[in-house]
Amino acid sequence: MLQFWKKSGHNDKNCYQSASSKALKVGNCSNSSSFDSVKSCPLQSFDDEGLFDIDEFESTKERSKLSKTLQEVLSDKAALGYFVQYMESRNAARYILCWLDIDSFKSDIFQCKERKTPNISPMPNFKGDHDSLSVSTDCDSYDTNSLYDFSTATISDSRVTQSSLEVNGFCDRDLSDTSPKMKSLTETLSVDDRKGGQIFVENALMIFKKYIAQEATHNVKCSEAARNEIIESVCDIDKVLVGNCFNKVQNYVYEIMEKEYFDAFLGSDYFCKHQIDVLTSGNVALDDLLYNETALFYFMEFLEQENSRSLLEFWIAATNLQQQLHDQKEFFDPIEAQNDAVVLYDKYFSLQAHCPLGFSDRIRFEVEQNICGENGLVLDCFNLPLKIVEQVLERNYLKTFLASQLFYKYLSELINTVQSNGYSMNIENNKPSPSDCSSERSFSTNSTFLALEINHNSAKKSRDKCTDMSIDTKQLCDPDSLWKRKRNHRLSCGRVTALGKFETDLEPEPDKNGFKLKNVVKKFVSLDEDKKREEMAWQVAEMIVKDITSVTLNQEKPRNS
Amino acid sequence: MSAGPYNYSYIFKYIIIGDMGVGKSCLLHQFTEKKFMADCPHTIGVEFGTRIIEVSGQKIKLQIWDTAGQERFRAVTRSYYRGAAGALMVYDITRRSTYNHLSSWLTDTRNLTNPSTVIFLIGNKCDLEGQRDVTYEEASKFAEENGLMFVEASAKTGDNVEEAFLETAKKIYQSIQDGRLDLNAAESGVQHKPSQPGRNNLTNDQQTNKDNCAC
Repeated sequence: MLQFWKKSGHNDKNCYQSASSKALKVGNCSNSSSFDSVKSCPLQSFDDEGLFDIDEFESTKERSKLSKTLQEVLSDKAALGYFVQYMESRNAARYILCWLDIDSFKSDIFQCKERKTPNISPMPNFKGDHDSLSVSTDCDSYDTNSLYDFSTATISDSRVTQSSLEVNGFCDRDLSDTSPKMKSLTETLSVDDRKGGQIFVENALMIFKKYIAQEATHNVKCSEAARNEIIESVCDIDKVLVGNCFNKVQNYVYEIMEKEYFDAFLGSDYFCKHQIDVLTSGNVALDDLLYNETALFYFMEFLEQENSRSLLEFWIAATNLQQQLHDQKEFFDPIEAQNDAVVLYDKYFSLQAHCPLGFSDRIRFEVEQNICGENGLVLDCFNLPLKIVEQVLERNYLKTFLASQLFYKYLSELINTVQSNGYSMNIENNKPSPSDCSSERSFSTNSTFLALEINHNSAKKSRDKCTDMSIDTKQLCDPDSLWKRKRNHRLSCGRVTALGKFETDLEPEPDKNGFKLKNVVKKFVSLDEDKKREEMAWQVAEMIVKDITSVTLNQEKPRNS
Repeated sequence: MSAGPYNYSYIFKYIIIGDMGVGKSCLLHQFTEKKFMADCPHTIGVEFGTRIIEVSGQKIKLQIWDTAGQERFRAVTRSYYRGAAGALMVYDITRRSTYNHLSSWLTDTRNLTNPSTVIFLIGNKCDLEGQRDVTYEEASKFAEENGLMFVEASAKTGDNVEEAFLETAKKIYQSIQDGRLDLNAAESGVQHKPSQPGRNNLTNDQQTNKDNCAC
């Protein structure tokens, strides 16, 4: 058979046609297609690593720690913690707690049975005592579960007490009806067995009172028939010891959790936190990426950047094919399946492949044998190349991906998902605008300037006007008049007419009026300038004042003559 | 081929769904390679294509997952619906049954993707007008009633192929701008990736040629 495959391509085509009733236009496909041609040389070196011994297909699909079923969550303590928190946030913690209590109850019974089996010994002379069933005994050899301790605390409730009385009523009735059986039963029980059984009966009663009784504090609302059945079971020590008296309720709460809560949990922040824990644990495996759709999206992008996309593309296609073949074991169409396998072979393995992966001839021969062998198609015909690709991905790309920007981006998006929901916008009130402060500053500046103005003006007047000592004295004695006059001057600053001068100032001194107006104008202008400019302005003003003074004095002389 | 791996701002994940033989892989090939594959082998599970486009001045890389249309692969391909930002639902205008099955494909899409996923209906093989089995008006009404975008295209001639992929990306980008599509959600099918200069392979060989729209 191998030699036949070594012949020309034409023979290959004939073989395909003979193997299938449909005509495969392999040649046309090859000619009309131009896919990426990426070779992966490392694949050649994986021939002799013992992978030929792998011949059993793993029937169960491999799982990712990032994708969980409800059963897997219940078996994983880390994920279970988040699931319990989620159920609490939905006010449905009673279902998961009920499931956990029943599971713990059953595991305790199972462990007890294993330990007790060799020790069973009959005591023929022992007589049954009705009161012993209702006596509460402490057995040091058994540790009670913390949940049971919590259950005990609720017994003090009046409702639970009523329920207890009701249950005891059932117990009494049942015992009175079957008193002959009790004798025979007790004859076969040892003292230790009775004590142990009593503990389990009490535990069963606690679970019943907490979750199943009509007045239960955490009522899971199972059906009336199931409740009645459980009532009869917990009254019979034999049925309690079997350990399956709560199976119906456990399956009932399991179905409720799976149908009504689990899908929403997978989309919740709690599961997102669990995924973050997995991704930051440092134990991320290849299966965690390949079997989780979101992680696969990022991993595919990473391989695209590394120009090794064909590896993952082949892995996805071949895995899907094998998964589909195993899913439809009974409705399996050999010819159709063979056609599917030939499509993948032509694309990745044949000598005219569109996307050759670079497998060696040895691998190719094995794949050919699996597809068109004497026994027909082998369901896991691509198992060996799949294992090789997985090894290449794990050795050459997994660590690099986990250290890449894309992985960091994936992780940060998960973290942002959790943070964005818990984020609350705190808008701080802006500080009050500094307008008040600036107003104060401008006011103080103005005041300072006014003070400077007053001092300077007074000094000049005292020096320049010797003949007007009387007027200076008046101004010094009356500060209010100084203020008023300056204000008037400023108010009339825009008018330089003779009439204005006469109106605002004393008639006998028109010359002084002009002098004051100009002085005020200079000072007023200097308000808007810096200190340096103020000094310059003062100097200029002094020069101007001197000129005006000299002119005024000259004009006064002709009048006198 | 595809442009430099670091020369884009976003990555959008697309899925292409529809009955077998409607031309899903040919549409993908026409969009990524600008060629028509006359004899295309049927898809096994999922195949993959990428291309970088530009929307509103932003370079966007499309990661396109082409699913198998055979019923026997449907259970397997459903696992790739999750996290898709865009879904291209394809039927063959010359085969009425492919149009009648759209409701089933739409139900799967609604159940398995985010509510923010953009769904684009494509009636392929519009070049075979003589063999038309579904009118444009009927399909357009179906698209309008279900809130889908719609166009008739031809993978053979290239008519409207570019438009279908680009319009989907524009609508996704619009959702991002409006805040309706949460970039922080890891399963939104969108990766926001600012450009990082200094990396290798900075050359941008993105094909800017666009096919003329004959419709």
